[in-house]
Amino acid sequence: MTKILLFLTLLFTVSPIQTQIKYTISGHIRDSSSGEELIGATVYIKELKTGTSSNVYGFYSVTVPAGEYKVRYSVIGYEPQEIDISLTQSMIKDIELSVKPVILSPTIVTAETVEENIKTPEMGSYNIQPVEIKTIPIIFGEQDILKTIQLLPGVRSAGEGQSGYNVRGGGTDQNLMLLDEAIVYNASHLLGFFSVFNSDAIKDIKLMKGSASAEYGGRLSSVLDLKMKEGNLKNYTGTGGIGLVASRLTFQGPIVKDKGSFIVSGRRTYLDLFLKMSKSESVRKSEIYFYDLNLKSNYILGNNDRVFLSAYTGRDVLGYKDEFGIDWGNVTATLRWNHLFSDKLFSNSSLIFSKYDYQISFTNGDELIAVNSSIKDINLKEDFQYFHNTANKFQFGLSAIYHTFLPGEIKASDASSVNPLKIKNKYALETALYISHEYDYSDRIALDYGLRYSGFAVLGPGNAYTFDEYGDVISTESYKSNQLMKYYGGIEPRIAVNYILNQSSSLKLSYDRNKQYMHLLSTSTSSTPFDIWHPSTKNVKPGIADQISLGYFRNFDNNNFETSLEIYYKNMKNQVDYRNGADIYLNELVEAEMVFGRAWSYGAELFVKKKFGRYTGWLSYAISRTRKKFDDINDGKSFPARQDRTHDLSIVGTYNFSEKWTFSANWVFYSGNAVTFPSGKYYVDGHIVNLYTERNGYRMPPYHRLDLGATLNGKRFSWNFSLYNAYGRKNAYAILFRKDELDPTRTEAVRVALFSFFPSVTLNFKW
Amino acid sequence: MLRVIRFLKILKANRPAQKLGLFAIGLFPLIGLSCEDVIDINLNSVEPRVVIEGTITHGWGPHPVRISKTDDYFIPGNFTPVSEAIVTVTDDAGRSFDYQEIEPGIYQNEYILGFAGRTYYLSVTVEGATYTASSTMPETIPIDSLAYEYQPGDEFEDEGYLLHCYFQDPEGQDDYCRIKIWNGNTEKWLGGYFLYNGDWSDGNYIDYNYFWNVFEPGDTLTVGLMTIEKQIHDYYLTLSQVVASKDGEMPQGVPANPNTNLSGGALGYFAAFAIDWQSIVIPSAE
Repeated sequence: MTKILLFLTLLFTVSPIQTQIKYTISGHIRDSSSGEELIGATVYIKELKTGTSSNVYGFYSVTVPAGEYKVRYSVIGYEPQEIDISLTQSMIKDIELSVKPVILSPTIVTAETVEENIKTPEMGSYNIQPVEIKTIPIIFGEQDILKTIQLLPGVRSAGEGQSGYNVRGGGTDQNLMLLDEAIVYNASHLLGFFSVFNSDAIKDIKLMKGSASAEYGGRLSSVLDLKMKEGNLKNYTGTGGIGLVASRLTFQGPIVKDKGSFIVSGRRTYLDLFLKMSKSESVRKSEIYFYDLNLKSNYILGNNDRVFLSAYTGRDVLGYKDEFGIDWGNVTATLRWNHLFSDKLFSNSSLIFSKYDYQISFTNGDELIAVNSSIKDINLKEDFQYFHNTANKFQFGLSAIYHTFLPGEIKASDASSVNPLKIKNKYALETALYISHEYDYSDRIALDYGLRYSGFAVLGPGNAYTFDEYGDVISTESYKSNQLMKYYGGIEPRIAVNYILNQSSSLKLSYDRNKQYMHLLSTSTSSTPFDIWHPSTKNVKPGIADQISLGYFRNFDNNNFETSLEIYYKNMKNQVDYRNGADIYLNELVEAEMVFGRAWSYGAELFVKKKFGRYTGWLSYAISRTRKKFDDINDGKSFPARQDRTHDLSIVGTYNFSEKWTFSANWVFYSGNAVTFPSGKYYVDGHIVNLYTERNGYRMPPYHRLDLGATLNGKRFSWNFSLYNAYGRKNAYAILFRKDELDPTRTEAVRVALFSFFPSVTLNFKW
Repeated sequence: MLRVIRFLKILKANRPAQKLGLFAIGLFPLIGLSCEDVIDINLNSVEPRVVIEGTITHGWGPHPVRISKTDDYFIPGNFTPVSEAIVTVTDDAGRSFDYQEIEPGIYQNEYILGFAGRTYYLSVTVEGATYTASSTMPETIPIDSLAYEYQPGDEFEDEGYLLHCYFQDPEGQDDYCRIKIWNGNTEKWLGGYFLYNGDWSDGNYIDYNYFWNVFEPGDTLTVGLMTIEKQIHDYYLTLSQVVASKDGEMPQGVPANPNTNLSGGALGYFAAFAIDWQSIVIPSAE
């Protein structure tokens, strides 16, 4: 810690020499109708050609010499505000911006400032407001954040209709998903076809494919940071909707006007209500549904303090008659305190809880079997932001997460032929300490660099096994409660440099290292509720990713078009795969089923976004390659990763036809993923058997799809119509190789397509 | 999704799980979403590889060893048998048995008396290359009894009779079994990989009722309970995931060739197993 303080002091002393008396303007930037804090709003001081932006809690702080200034506050989608400030002492200026009405005539945007995307060293990241993506057509008509981000370059769907995603060649378990700072361990509903994030409750979405600030860590490939809405501080409002799959209801309002507010948002599928109406008893006794409930409340205690409480719970329930049932879900809770130590030092302290669990139960006559598994976290987190001056901003903090893993337990009645079984719990403490510095070195050069130290202590009680090359145990060491079984730790440096070429273009370069101490056990290609997390241990080393990227950012037409071209190379060490036929469930010795190797990915990504006017939207294209190399797979030769996909193109367009009608369309094209197909066949045990010669040596056929959407806006009601896969292309979900039913001497390839065109309609309302 | 089913199969509750999986997946075809089409696809040609399937059961032979070669995927017809191989089995009592080729690609020796607890070593030499494997025959686990149960049938499952196979898992040892069902009238094996792994049920009286089949009145069924080694259980388990005759199953993870116990790069397996038989007749409706 002393080292870090020393480092801090050093940094402060190198900042430009102060010759004038400086004062600080600070405050919060909010939405005028709801009082919601605005994230990333720009504060620009014309005379000095400098400024800042608000943080994720809407707070800003800017320190400049005394003087008379015109200060402009702006954020996309809102009317900018310009105020005159006579700065003779430090002052608090809370600003409320009002939503800009939908402008249908082409607007002229004056580019007097250098846009944020050009100015910051940040690369590979996207900020999305749920409002922006409301009209994008999505399968089943259900707004889904995870499916929308799959339309961005470098982000791939883990499968048709799936909410799981791969970022720049990383695995689906290498994405850190944070909901109000709480880790969400399994973001899938209904076997991956829906995500757990209810768009109605989400205020801000930020996806980082790399060069994430040192504040984040723990996953190799990306960070998805979701902020829940705070609740309307001024009025009571409600919104809701009835869709094809789920119905939604959100209610929010002040607890004390302009002081405290709350929001409650729920969503539930209702297909099962129709099952209940069935004539058949078997159908009536079956269940299939999921729900999400988001809750948040906050209270402003004074100018310097505000407390927040947010919670999420969601669950899937599947029941087959009264014989069999599975249910699974996440619970998260965040208690947070924002405090201003001064008008320059902002702090956020959080106490966070997260949990994922699943339960399975069987009844077979008088036989009763129940299986459950879970992961549970308690996380204490402390973050500081120090707004030194317009050129220097510091962030530092620490976090400690205590993980409890319950890998699996079988409970069985006496009459059962299965014996009770409990796989030993595992415990770990994951800690991190970080500091980062955003530094505008000159008008042209900006830096964002930082260091993160992460540590992972595997704690007892537990057994540490040593395996031979065949996966048999050769020795076992037992540890007592809280005894250190293994410690991993290391520095994760991050640096991003921006060289501003001119008002509308810049060159960026970044390097970052990430470590991952948690591994998702899964042998399947799509998400299942039984995918559980396993800590790094003596046998399972933490994953390490090093990524370097270079980007050219350029805006056109007065910032109406934002474009970027990024190239990257990412190397991932200590990657996990499994032996053939691996038994990963309820297996005390699951580590014997794992094999280790490395993966690497490189590619180029192009992103073009049109921000204003009747037509808005984006085009994203990525060309990339991802390969893996494991001693125990494919005879030790490198092979393409399953998520390796050469070309990936998405075009998303929205057309504001009138005040009433908005039309939208997406077109997605990608070349096939790498896949393992048989090359030959043979006859054994009375069957024709597929013969495989190499891992992922084939490609799925190219995939393309057009989705159409239309929204009819009314005062209280709005209708959303969508058509998924409008031209009904039969895209291959899987290709099966099997015996011809009619001629058993022949074998054939069968394409399984899940969805041809699929229409849906959603009615939304508000009051 | 079907991996869910597999997991639940492992949970030894394959029947309801299968139905639940189908129930969840069933929603897609129900609303007319999923469809299957036979397509043309180009697959690489493969250098033919040797396939060996050898078994030794307790008691007298024939204990066949079948040797054939692999084919390219879309070539129709039968597989090429491999003749003029040298096939030898030795056991841990030091005896050695040479096999005769009785028809192309099928080798046997009727004079081996299979014993539980004995380890057998197979050696096959084909075109100058030698492939070896060993397998130890486990003790027989007897079938206690067979029974049938009437299932009324509803939206999810057919009306008919379900089969139960009862046996006692011997306490204090790792037991692996495979159950095969034959139609008693035609002596035709009904197919399928019904495997049992005693990890979670050591020492229990087992009611094995996880067969996919639904039977009709009048069916005569012959059930064989094979006791096998772990390596053979793993072979059948990994084999069941890549047989070309199983329809409807989506690939779970990445498919791979089964975990064979043969060395030298041959496909197939060599298993010594014990087997116990019983038959049952499902009575015709009066």
